[in-house]
Amino acid sequence: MNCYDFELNITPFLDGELKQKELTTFRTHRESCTGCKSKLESMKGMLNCLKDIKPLTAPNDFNVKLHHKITQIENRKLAKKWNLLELLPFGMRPLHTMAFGLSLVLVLASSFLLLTVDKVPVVNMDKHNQANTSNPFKQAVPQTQNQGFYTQSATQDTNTTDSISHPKNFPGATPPIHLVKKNN
Amino acid sequence: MEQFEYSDEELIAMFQDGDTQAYNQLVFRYKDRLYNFIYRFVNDLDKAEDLLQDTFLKLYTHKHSYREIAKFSTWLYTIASNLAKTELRKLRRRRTYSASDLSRDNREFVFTTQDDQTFSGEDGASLGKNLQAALNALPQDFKTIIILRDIQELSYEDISKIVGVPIGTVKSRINRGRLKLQKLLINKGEKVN
Repeated sequence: MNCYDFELNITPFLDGELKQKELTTFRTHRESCTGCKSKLESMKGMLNCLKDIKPLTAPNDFNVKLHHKITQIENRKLAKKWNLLELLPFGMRPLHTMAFGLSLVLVLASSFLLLTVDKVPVVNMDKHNQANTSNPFKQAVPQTQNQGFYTQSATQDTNTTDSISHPKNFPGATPPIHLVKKNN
Repeated sequence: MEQFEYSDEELIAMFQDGDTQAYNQLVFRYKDRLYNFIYRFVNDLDKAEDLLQDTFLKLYTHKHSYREIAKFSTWLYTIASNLAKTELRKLRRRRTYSASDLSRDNREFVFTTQDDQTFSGEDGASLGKNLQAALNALPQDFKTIIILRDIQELSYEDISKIVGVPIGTVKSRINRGRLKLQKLLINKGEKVN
């Protein structure tokens, strides 16, 4: 064993973790090398000093200060709860109430409008054919039961439906889509 | 059954159920040990007290973070260690001035620390100061492990969980840390045989 290996094995030796063979080699080197022996003794002394360091005790008023801080934390938690309660309708501040109410109305109104809009556009072949001669938007479109913005014309007959699937006038081309705007 | 007969894990379980007396008992058991540990880390009594308070406040507010996977002491030491490391990082970032620079007359200010009373006698006081100074000069990884092993006398397993490295690494760092500490003390002219 050389001095470098001896140094690496000092802690395992002091912890009693060296195997028998390693222990023998360690002890042999210790007896033969005064420098390493001195290093080992010095290490033992240093560890004893570290263990003998007088332990500190926490200050006498530590508990009092700690519990004071804990009380502050608890009070802050309660204050947060009260702040949350202030957001409820009973006891709301005027500006907050107005802002909350307005935003609620806007959300409900926009949801209502979105839900009542017809998503599927109506294909009205008859109206499109008539558009070649007259302005379709000037024609009065009879009301139907459908409440959406875009609706089917009441004059639509089954031929229109047939014309969608089996277009008569446009055997090979894609029929144009004619949207009829609902008059309010 | 008296409360001091409960184990740490039983006390924390009681505290998690709402028993504040269990919390007080845990504070009583650990405050001195942690105070020592933190002081050796930051080398400042006031800061050590603040960090000790922060540790116990974290225990109070985050009691449900503890799971019985590890020992309670390991968990508590980890909190204290992390707080101490954060504080040291903050201190390194701040510029420090010598107190003597702030004096209006040309007196030098000398601060005395608790290390003067660490060992008895003049030589003892000097050894205590030099020991703390040598500890402070160690790299943080070595310093943490030396404090936990040689001053707090924790097991390698506990230290491994607190620091978050394998046991083999802990043993290697202990050995290197001790050798380095020994060299620093020799440089300061201390004979500790």
